Amino acid sequence: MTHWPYLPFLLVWALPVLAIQWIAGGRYLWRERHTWPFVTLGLGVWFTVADAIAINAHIWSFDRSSLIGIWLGPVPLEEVLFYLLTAAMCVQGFVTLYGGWGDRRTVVAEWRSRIARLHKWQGKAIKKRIASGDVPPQQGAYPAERADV
Amino acid sequence: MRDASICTGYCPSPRGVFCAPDRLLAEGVAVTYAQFLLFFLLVPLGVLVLVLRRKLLDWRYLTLAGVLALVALAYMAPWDHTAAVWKLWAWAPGQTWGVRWWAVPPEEYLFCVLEALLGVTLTYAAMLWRGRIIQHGNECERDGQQPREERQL
Repeated sequence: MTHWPYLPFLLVWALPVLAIQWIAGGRYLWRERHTWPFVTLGLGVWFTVADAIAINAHIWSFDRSSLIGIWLGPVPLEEVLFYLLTAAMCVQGFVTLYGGWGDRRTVVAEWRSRIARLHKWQGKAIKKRIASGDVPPQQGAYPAERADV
Repeated sequence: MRDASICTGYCPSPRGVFCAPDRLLAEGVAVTYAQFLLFFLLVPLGVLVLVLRRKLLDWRYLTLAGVLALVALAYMAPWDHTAAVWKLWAWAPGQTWGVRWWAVPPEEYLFCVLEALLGVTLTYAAMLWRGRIIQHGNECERDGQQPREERQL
């Protein structure tokens, strides 16, 4: 099995989640921009200090050949990033869902409207294909598009 | 300085954790993963619970805390297991409970759940403190008034 170094393994795992949170709930994260970054940073510092103590107490240790080799005292840089990214995932997840819960009717309505638009767009695309002779009318995807119905 | 040659097995670093338990005891190393969890996660969480008390009785917060902790656990477990199999990191057998679920000690799963709960609760506390969440309920019921959200409609 391919053995990844710690840093890419961490980033590939954590960054897509943060990206999805921003795509889905960017408006709530922006609205709470004076709250969650400080909580994330505070948790990152707290866990980095805790990690230093755990590493010094030999509770866990790392394969040095898989690290990039930048250390903050006894703590590898990857661990600092790990605590910041995991804290960000939890904190942003909460802010997004807490905001979304309050707006759930609006959110549901928005998604319905998006799906309806997609549906309409698909209908237009099929009509265009039929008009161009690409698809025989009786093979249209929608009953409304079929010549025999 | 510890002599690396006394390590009995795989020794990933000069501070290798797979050293003979008698050597660890001789060095006075007594901190276990469970103690780490107690001090760095359970104590802060307990303090937050004591400070917030009845403010925690918010269904939206409680539901999201539970859901996020479970999602965090489900998302972290395969990742952590893979890293442990690749030996990116390892835990000292003498300082964990000794059990492994997959290649991961139960304390690690607890860490994940407690970290999610701490993060969520601290965010909730910060949002309350900054006035981003306006609680209603008991005082409205007592005064016979509608909760704020409904009054605004």
